[in-house]
Formats: sequence, C-alpha cells, structure tokens
Amino acid sequence: MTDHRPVGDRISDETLVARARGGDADAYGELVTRYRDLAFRVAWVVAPGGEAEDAVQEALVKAWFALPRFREGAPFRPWLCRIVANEARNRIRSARRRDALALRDAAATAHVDAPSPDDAALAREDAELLVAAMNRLKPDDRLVVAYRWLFELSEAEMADALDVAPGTVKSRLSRAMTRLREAIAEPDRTEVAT
Amino acid sequence: MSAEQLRRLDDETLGTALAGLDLRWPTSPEVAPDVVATIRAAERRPGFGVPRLGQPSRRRTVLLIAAALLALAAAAGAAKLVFDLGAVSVERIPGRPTALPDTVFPGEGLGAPISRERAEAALGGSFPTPAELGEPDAFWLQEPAIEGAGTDPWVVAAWRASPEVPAIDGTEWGAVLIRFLGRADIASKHVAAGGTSMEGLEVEGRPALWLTGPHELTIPVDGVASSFEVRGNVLLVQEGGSTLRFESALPRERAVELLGSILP
Repeated sequence: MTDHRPVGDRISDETLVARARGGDADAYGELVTRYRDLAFRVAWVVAPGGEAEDAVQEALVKAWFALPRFREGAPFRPWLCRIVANEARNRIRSARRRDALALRDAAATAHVDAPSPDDAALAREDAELLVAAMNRLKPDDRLVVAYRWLFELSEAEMADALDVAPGTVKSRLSRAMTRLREAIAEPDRTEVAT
Repeated sequence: MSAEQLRRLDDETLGTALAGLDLRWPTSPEVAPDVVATIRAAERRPGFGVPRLGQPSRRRTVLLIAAALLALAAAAGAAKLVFDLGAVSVERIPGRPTALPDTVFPGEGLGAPISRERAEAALGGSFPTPAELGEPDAFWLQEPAIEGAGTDPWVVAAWRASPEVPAIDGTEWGAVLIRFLGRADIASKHVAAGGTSMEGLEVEGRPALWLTGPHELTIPVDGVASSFEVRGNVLLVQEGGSTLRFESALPRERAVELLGSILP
C-alpha cells in the first residue's frame, strides 16, 4: 500500500493539503494518487463489490469540497478514510454485486506462530477461517478490525477515522475482536449481531 | 490449529494473524484524473463555487446577516425578508397567509414513485439517506423545466410513518428528504412571521435553517409551479453543490443528527 509518510524530497501531505485548500486541484490529485489504494481498500472492506470504485470516486470528490472544514495540521489519511467509509456505507444497500475479502490463490498463509509442523500445516486453513470470519462481521466491525490490523492505523488515527473519542477506540476494537472470535466459532452465521 | 484454538488466541495474536494474511485485494483503479476532471467541471458550473481557505463562505455570511436581520424583523413584527439557502429561498411575510394550499406535501402530485437506481442516475451519483431510517419507502424525481427554476433535477426520498419517525400531521409519511442539485433557485417558501419559527444554525459545519410551524412551499412539479402546505418541521442544509431539505415531525436535535449522518 502507498506509504503516507514523507520520504526524501516527496511533498508532505500537509503541504499538499494546504495547496488543495487553496484551490490547487493538481495538488489534490497528488493526494488522491497517494491514497487511492488505501481508499479503495477501505471501501472494499465496508462494501465489497462493484460499488467500491464508485464509492471511492464519489468520496474523493466530496472530500475536495469538504477541505475547508479539514482541521489544519490534522492527519489527512484518517480523515479521508472516514469520508470513504461513509460513502461506502451509503452504498451497501444498493450494491448489485456482493463480493468478499479473499486470500490470494497461491501461498496464502496466516502468520501465526506455529508450535509444531502440524500446526504450521494448518496455516492455510487458519487463514481461510479468519477471512471467512471477517466476511461474516458487520461492516462497521470489519472496518474497525481492518483499520487496526490491515491498514495499521494508530489509535489516534482510528479515532479520527471512526469519528469517535480516542478513549473509545480500544473498546470498539475489543468488541469487534470478540465478534470476530464468535464468527470463527459459528461459521454458518452470515453476520454477527451487534 | 482448530477453529476453537484460533478463537482462543488473545487480541494481539489474533490481530497479528490478521495482519499477516495475504489478502487478494482488487486492483485499485487510477481515479485521480477522473476526480480532478470532475472537480474542474464542477468549478466551471455556473453558481457552483469552489471553497477556498480563509475566505468566509458567502452563504454563511448571508446566513449570519439574515439571522441578525430576522431578529430585527421579529422585533419590528412586520418586515418582509428573503433568505436564500442554495436552491431554496425562504420569504418571511408579515402575517399568516389568508389561506394555505389544500395539498399537504409530499402527498399527492409527485407522480409515480421511481427506484433508487433511477433517482441516483438522475442525480449523477449516490443519494445518501440516513442509514438509521432504513431504505426509503418511495423515491420521486422531478426535473424543473420552467423559467427561472434552473434545469437541475430534484429527488425526493420518503419514509412511511413508524415508531422511529411519527407521522407528519396530515400525511402518511414520517420523513421526507429532498436533494436539490445546483444552486439556482428551485423552491421557495413563504413563512408567516407570527406562526412559524425560523432559526439559522450549522449542521456538520454547513449553513442550515430550521423551520417549524405551517408554511407554504412552492416547487415546480412536472414543469408547473405548485404550492403545498408544509406541516412538518423542516431542516434545510446547503451541502457542496446541492441543497438538502429534511421534513419530519422530529425535534431539531434528532433531525440534525439524522441529516448530519449523511454529510461527508
């Protein structure tokens, strides 16, 4: 995924955001390029399927017009995640094609420490169980888990992205992880109730 | 490792296992050129201003001035004032109209309902509605074609009355959301100084207006300016290039919460 951190002479997010807020559409285009993978994956986590691309495009245009309300100095990445997730959430009901998270076809494993070769041999099965459980979660729980473990957002970033108080992130994540376990245990359920 | 063993892992270990999954993400399309082109096209649309850092919103300025003037008008008790919020203008008149229209909005007159897909196709994008209310029971589409009303469509989503949204007086509907595209004046409201309250506020940073009490709404239906009586509480919000109108019997805080939930 695209690295959001300044590298070498790369223009920082803060500078690009400032330019974009001043009306520089090209600067905003650079931000879009920088975060399109993340944006698309966030949309995919919330509403897997053919709607993700439309949701991302719509969200990115909305984010441009919301830039005047962007808090100066705040990180751009979680703010964008919030807008994309909201847009994707609005499209869940109208999604024509439902899809799901999936493992790559080849050599997919869950990197759980395996105490024995037998356990290691089950790694692919473990990974499939985990992915299936993720797919059975409600979108909001799936998003919380994904922010932390798939997209590696910090707690502060998660608070921004979820639009909740920083102190709420841990409890949200804990509840989502509990439901993930329930989903592992009950593979026939389509969704874990909140 | 069995499912049972997997679910016994602590959060950190289970999370690390998730982080190590080799997921097959779909290829993300190169959207930047389309997004930038859309933004530039929007900039070129007449009346579609692009926000700029450090410049107070003209609409917001109008809102503040109008709020101050409204206070003066209320004190004077007889002033006439026009308030403009995106595609909706609100005219405050000195006294209650001698007669309100017979038809209560939305009620009859908007034609056959359409599908969400059709509504969104007309809008050229998604039509977010408050998730807490569930899917609307009906959608309507109108495309103004009368002089001075612009050419942008307006779309209505409506929910039948339920415990969540009690019926608007005189209707079977609990909530009605309209999205007007563009900023050309499409609808107008006549608000009586004595019988209707009117309050300027912000919803998620957007200029907004809260109206309670019966008033008259004039809106083009099938190309003809049509007047309706409005009995619900109305929240108007200007959002980007569109104006949202949310009518219900709900109190202001709940209406703000619901409408705010669909703003980016």
